Amino acid sequence: MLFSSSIFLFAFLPAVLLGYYVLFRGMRRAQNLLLLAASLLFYAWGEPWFVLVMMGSILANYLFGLWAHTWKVRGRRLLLPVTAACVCNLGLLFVFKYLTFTLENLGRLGLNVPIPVIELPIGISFFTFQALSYVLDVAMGTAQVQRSPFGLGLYISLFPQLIAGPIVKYATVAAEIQGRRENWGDFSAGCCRFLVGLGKKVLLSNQLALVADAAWDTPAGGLSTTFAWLGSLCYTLQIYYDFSGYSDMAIGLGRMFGFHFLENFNWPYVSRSVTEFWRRWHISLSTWFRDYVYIPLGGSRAGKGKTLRNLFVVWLLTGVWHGANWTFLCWGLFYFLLLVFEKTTGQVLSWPRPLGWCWTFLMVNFGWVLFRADSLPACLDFLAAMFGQGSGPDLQAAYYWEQYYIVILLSVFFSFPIAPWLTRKVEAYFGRYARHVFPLWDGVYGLGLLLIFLAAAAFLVKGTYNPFIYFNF
Amino acid sequence: MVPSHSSTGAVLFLCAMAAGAILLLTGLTPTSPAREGVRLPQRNPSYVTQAGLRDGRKSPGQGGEAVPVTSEPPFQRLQDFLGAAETSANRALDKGHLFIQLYGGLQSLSDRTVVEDVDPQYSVVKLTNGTITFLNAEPQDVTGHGRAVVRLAEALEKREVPLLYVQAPQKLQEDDSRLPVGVTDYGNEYADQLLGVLEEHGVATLDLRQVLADTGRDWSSFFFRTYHHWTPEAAFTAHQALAEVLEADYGFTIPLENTDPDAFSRTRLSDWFLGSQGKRVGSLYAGVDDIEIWRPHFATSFTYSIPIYDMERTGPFDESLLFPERIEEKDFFNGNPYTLYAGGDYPMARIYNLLEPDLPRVMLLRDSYACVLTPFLALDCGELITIDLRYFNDDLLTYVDWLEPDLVIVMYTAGSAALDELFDFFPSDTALPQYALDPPAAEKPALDEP
Repeated sequence: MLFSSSIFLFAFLPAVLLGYYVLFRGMRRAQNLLLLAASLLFYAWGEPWFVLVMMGSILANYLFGLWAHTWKVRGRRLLLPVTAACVCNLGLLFVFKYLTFTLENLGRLGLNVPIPVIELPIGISFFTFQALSYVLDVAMGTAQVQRSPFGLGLYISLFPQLIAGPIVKYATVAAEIQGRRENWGDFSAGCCRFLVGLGKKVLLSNQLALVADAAWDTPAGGLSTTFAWLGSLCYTLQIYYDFSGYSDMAIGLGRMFGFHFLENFNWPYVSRSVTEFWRRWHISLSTWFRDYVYIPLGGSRAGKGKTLRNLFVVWLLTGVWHGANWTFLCWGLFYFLLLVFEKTTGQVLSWPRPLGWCWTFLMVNFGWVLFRADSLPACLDFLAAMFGQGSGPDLQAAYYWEQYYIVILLSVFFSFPIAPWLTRKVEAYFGRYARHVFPLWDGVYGLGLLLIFLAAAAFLVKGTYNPFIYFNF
Repeated sequence: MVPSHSSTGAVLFLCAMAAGAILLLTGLTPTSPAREGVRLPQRNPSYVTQAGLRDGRKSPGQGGEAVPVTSEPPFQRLQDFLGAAETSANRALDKGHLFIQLYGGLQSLSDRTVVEDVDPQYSVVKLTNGTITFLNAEPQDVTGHGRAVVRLAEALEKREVPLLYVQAPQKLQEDDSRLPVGVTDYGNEYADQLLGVLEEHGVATLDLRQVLADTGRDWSSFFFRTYHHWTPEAAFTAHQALAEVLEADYGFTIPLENTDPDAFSRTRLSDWFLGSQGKRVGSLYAGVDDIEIWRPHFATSFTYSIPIYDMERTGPFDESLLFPERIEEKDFFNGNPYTLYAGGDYPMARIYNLLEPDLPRVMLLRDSYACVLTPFLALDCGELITIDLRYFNDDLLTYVDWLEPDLVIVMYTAGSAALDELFDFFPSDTALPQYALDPPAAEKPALDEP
């Protein structure tokens, strides 16, 4: 089920809220069971049988957690349970996500192996990493073992963050599974955050997708330079609003039910270096790799050579995590090279701000071209079109600009932290009277959010284009 | 600090969500079908059977053949159900069409001149004068359709029945400068290709695009604002030109009053309806349409019979050929006042001119553009038979043999020249839809008395 769907907004969410806050008010166990059942239904809605895969993952990781905990209590080395958990989880991920790709490439090398048709369970990378995070947190002692399979099931399958993140580490929410405290402040902040995310997704990302897809669907020979640039810019904005919109909705929904997930985005397109960009983009994934791969490998404290090796491993895995395609692998390695360049030369950070920003935005933009392309040759064709090899008519660019210029300009505008800046200015202007002004702000902001909701609902009811990029990962 | 928290926002969100849930619940509850748009009368099953037997072709599921019933796996059925749920929910939510109105308003605010639809062929294009239309967005080779008309003309010639191809106009002109930048329409190109083939083979044609252009009037005035169809006034102008051709080339004797606009009263219903495009984007996007009711001052009497639906209307022009019930109520989303004229698209209809039964019998192969022309044309004929091949399941030539028309007119709008089903004159021909260049002449089917 999609957050940005009528069924979710007008049937699923009201029903869950009603059950949670009215029917089972004050009954934590019943509330958790309701959330678990709702989450399984949420997941099963799109692909009913994949819910069995997820339930299998929950059960297996529950057992791995108990195993790791028991051995830890007994003072035994945890290599075996941790390895078993990693093999099982990553094996599951490999079978569903990478097996076909691997066999295809083996086929290219001359090994004639039959290639099975395997459908990708939605969000498998997210819930597998979450499940693994549980076992690793228990093994590392950063979290207590979860005695209830339903509690663990709720952590892994909790519908707000189930299929497109953020990747919530077990330690972050372990205490909230039983001991969370819902309150109006959290609930209302959650509602507002959800609506902001919904607006980003439906009103901006889905519209930008139409331009980006049109550019990528244009055959290489017919793509003009202008349209290639417009398409790449729109995809750069689309993926931000798509993924950060989903994260906003997830974080907002979590807060509505008393869960506090960590931020996943922090205005990434204001970054003045690629290093800074990755501190602001998909923070939960970077943190996951940092905590469970980079640091266990020795991080940056084991000498230059090993630091490079560790970075290489992390970025290779980051690329591979995003999908079974050479483009993702190259995308990960592209960032490895950029980060190594920035770290070893110290160049970009010393550049003037605008230059650093331009460098970062351009590199990120090229990165998204690689990320979006279906294959490496397609990526090269697209880049060639961007660099003057485009041969199509510019009418297409003119058409899409004329149709979408307002959405594009708004998207560029809102990718900068205008709201925090504005709030600071208002606070500074009104000084000690600010707290009297904010009730008015509350009303105006609330009405604005209602308009966003109605507009988004109108787009959804009309059944417009509604792709979610990060469901594929 | 980001203003992340608004109690007003949360309360309004909860209220809006609850309102949506109620709309959804009430929308999914079955209601009386009376308000569900313009409904066709129930199809008479006996007629279907009869028609099926007459030409040996049967409707699906008809006759003695067992239709295999495949049972889907339960997971598949569940998936199908879930897949359809969103569409049903959206329909239920928008029963009052508020969301479409809001959607159109937002599109207008964001200065969009092309509003994409889930189905690209229904994307709505706004012209520089603010009117909207669908687009024939893809270039297409339609010369095969031209050859199909040529073959029909040849088959009719053997029966000594002449054929006249009338090219109805479309809302967009060739290289129409009112289109947004980067948007092209190929409808007129289709029509030109088709007319080219017909002229090459000596089939008589009348191009109403030229007729309307020659009046010197603003092209937009011939069409509705939120609809791709032409207005009754445009159809009347076309009727005048057609009447001239019928008199000059086919020996018709047409009473003067039939083509005299002053012999008709015209009543305008202002802001009365939304056309097909308007219904997709709401009235906030491009406004609404007026419709004119044309009624002759002179005496008329017709019987309009649609046998497949067991429907028959007898009375003067404005009671038999016009359907005043279609404009009784202003209903932007459920009504279709365009069908005031001739009632809409029927597979086959017969109109008997009770005051002039000896005038020629004409068979009109038509698309929806014929709706507004049909009542005017019926004045010139003793009997007018209209056939819409999109819905007509029988063998056309059997009907020609049976009804023996004095003239067959094929009239399609420019964009329709690309629709295969409108040129499917010989459905038993295995060469279709390729329309081979030199096909065998259609055999005369055995005549079966009705």
